[in-house]
Amino acid sequence: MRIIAALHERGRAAYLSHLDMQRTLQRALRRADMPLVYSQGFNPHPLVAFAGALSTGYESEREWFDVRLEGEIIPADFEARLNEVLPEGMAVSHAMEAPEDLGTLTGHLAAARYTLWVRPERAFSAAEVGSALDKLLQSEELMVQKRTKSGAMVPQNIRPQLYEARLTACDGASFALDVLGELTAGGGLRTEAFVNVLLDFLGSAGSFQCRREEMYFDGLPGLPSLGKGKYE
Amino acid sequence: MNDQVLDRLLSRVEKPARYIGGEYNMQVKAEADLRFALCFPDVYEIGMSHLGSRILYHVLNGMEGVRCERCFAPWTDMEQALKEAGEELFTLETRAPLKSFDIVGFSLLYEMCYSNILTMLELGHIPFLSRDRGLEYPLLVAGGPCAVNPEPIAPFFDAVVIGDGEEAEPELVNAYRASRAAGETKRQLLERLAAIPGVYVPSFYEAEYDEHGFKAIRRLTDKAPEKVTRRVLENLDKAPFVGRQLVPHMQIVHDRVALEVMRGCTRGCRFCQAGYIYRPVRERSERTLLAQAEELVRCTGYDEISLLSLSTGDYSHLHELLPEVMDRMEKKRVSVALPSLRIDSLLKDELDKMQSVRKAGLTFAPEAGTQRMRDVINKNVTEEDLLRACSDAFESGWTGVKLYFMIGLPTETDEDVLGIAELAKKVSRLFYSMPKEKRGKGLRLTVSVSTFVPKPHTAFEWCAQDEPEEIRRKQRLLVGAMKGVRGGELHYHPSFLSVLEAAFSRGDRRLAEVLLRAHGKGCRFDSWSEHFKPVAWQEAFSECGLTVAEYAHRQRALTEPLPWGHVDVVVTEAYLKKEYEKAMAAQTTKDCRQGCNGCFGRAYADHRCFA
Repeated sequence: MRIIAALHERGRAAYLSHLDMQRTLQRALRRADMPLVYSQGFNPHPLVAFAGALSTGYESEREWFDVRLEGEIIPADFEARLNEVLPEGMAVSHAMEAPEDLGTLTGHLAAARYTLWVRPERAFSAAEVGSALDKLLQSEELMVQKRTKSGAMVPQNIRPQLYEARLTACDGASFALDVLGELTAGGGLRTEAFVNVLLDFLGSAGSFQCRREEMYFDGLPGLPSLGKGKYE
Repeated sequence: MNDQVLDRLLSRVEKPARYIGGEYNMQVKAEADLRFALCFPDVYEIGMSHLGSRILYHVLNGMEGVRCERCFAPWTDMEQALKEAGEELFTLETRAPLKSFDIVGFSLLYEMCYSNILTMLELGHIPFLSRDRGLEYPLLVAGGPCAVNPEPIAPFFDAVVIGDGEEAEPELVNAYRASRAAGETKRQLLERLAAIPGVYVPSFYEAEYDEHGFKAIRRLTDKAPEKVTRRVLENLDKAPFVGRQLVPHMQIVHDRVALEVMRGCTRGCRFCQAGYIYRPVRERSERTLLAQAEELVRCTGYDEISLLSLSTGDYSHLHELLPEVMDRMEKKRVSVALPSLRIDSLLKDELDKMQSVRKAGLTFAPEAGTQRMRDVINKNVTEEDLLRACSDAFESGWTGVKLYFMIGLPTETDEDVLGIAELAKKVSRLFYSMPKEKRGKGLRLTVSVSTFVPKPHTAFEWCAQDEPEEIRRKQRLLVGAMKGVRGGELHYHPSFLSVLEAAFSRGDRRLAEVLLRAHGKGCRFDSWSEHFKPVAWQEAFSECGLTVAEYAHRQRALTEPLPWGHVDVVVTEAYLKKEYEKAMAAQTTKDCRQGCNGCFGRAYADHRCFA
């Protein structure tokens, strides 16, 4: 059977790389004695796949993943057994049985929502940050420099990948943003590029932390999507 | 350290997962009257691969009221981040500063990590020298294989555990508690520790030197023993194992379940320190091992298990154990690794079985290129053994073979060096002479050649190490001879690191000052080529009026006093001398399993190898 579920990574677990996460989930599945299905071939590996990769240092409320199992298991049991053997900072939720003919998570990944906590080098009022955001959202182009694989810097317009951005809190020293952007197997909105554009616009620099709140899919019934009948 | 500070530090380093802890099976006891920081002077991925540290973590946390936490050497990016932020080195479990612990214990696995001990103490704001630390600082202890010559690091540590730590460490912890409860002075505490068998208190001894170098070591109090005798755990089968093995998030060097099959080795290779200092051989029963294998796999989720020992092929019940382990593990899709098989103990059936789970490279260690040289080092393996093992491996479909050798061995001639290439040539010919349908496509024959480092408490403890120029000449000789070995690839290393290792493994107390100076010159992570500073080390030696050469390249007389002479590792000096003389005559000594060779002498005749 096929199970799709979401994994959260909070606190210190944010510092795991994508590979670390894959290893950790696989080992937890083995500890939970889940009847995993293995790939054929030279070096068989369990059929476990995350929808996308999460940058090292980012927390996430829901990293969706897909597991193939031999035999049947009630999704609630899957969740409970796995949660008993996951390390601190990680837990699964939203486990559901998925039809075999449902497409892959990666292939249908469309967007993601993030909370960003930005700590600029100097303080800004809510009005200042708010008006900067409005200006950025009104512009047709948001140009950033992107490093290519060969190390060269090329200009990139990130505006098309930015869907929504709003200020949710501001205490002077830092502010929080709710950002929705494109996320697909091929790429999407780079949140650090967006923060840099915003800080640049404000005439400052600074650091930020990020938590992925949700991932959205196109054409996978039962999974969160941005279309009609929005996922809650 | 709070979350915000940690986040700031982690955002500045390349591999933050080294510093976060929180791994599955990590233990954090809420109530503890004694806190022990178990330190490893190398990075996380290396330290977490060390079985001894895992055993101690389990043993100490198993003691009532004791909380044992871990701390590893921070990589240079984290060291810099800590210094710039004005933060102290912290443990992974509770992020508490090292200085706040009752006892700080270091594992000594490799001499070239000594500089990292100083880095960790500096970052922990703990004074380097034992004499500069009162009871307001943690008690600083050490243990591990390098402790059999504790002299180069003696002035830093309050106490050093020599030998097996499973029993000695808890005794040390309890002595500390008793001393603290009685409100004793540090001196009184050290006296208690010196009374524990296997515990060495360096400050109770003084070394003397004359114009020739080390002269003698003198005991300063009768509270300390004349000779410190290595601690030997009698019953490995009943001993604690690793319990619930920690499962790191990031990939570590030995990323699998480690199952210790036996301790000690009966082969008696004369260069091998482990072969001498882990005697007698102690085995775990097949039943215990099967139960531990199942338990470890269940509580970790690992898909690989390694049957560890110095020579797993020699385990008495291997033929019963191996098929059973492989069978049970295959059902769980766990592959079984046998990391230290000897060429002569290899069996084709077992190779075929291993092949079915996963195909990794095979490694053999003939150690020397000619039979004469192998007889000198008592590596009782013949060319036929190697060729037969390779032939079996090739027929089973393996195409990657790695051969380990040493150069610079005592009595070595150019013929012995060239013999390495000859042997490689024969292996290569063997592969390509096999019918194509019976073997794999292309051979990958890696010939790895390291430089011999004479070690204390071995038959070669008196021997000179070849000088770097001579090693380079022999390496060049080999490079030439290896040309034309089809599928062959030669790996060798610049030799100054081996020279330093030779100096520190047989060093005396004067080297502690050299270490302090090298630390001051920025030496750390010396075994990582990008950080190794040979010039700084040379300067550190000369500032102390010493040379590396007098430690590494000087042949010692058999009658000469040795800086580690007050450490009794149970194998007698008389036995080592006899072995040395047999080596010089290229005479072999039989495997202890074929009959006792009498290495313990009369005093420890009751230490039985096969009880």
